Amino acid sequence: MKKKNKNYLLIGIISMILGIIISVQFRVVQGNFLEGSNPFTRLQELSNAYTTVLTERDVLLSEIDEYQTKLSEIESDASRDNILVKNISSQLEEYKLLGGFLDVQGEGIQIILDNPVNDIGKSSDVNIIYEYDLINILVNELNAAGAEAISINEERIISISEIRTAGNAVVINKVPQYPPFIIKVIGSKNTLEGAVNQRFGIVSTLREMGYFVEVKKSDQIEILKYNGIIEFNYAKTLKN
Amino acid sequence: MIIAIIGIVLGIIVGYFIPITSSGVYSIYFSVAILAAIDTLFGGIRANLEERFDSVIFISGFFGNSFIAFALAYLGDQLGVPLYYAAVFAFGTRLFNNFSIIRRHVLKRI
Repeated sequence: MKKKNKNYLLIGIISMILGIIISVQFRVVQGNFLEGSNPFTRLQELSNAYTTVLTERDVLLSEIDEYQTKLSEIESDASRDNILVKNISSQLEEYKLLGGFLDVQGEGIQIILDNPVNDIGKSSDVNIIYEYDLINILVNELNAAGAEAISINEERIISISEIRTAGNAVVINKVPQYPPFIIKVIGSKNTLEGAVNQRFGIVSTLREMGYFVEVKKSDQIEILKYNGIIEFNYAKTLKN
Repeated sequence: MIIAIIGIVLGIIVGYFIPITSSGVYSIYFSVAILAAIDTLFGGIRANLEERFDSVIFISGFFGNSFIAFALAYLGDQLGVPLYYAAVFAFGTRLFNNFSIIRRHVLKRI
């Protein structure tokens, strides 16, 4: 009987160890690790949070628009009374236009740039995301042909805009963009079209590599303004 | 059986109050440890019912199995291969085997 008791004691000890492990692990999972959910529900939570943040961003963007219209209303109100303010505000409009802070429209071209269609038996390692320098060349070419405004997927290209690969996206104005890239350009439509479509030019290079490129002339291209804030921390005006 | 349940409840209470925490990184090790403990427990209950319980085998089995399972999990972590599957599989199979034998013994007694 004594032996039996010892056996029970050992079984009890092992079950106690089991209980300790279970409760420690339970506490850890319910505590900080993944905030108390298993990886699958966590994924769901994160995607929900992502959607919420996206809608929040849209609300904030529309708020920016609202305040900007209010600001321009105030400016126009003030300039009605004062000739000096009127001059300044018309100058301001001009600089805004130059800087890319106004929506613009006019004639130009629209370029659709996409990855090759995935065919069976065709390798799919050709990806425009990893050859962002080609987009840079295209933008450069357009600027050389006298483009007055350029946007890629509605991101306005301005003086500080970057085009570079980060992860599996091309980041433009710090916003990740994915193919297809819709590049809108305002300028002389014939000059622009000729500049990109010339023999051995950028479009033919892209097509040779297998990318889908479509260039369309249009009389009515609309390009949205740059939606961000530029802050100069280092450059100061040189007084002479 | 009753001893085991009392032990688990006691362990949960103790584990709730002792200030030990682990990061989620080690959850593989914990899963293996839990399985090793359950496996040992079932094996012990089975041996007890068959009247051939040996405390040395029982304890050495628990620590030895846990050690091999931890070693496999660690090696798997280092090599990037989920080797702890082997432990999970072995423990899991044995667990159900032992349980079916325990069930037979208990049903026979009734």
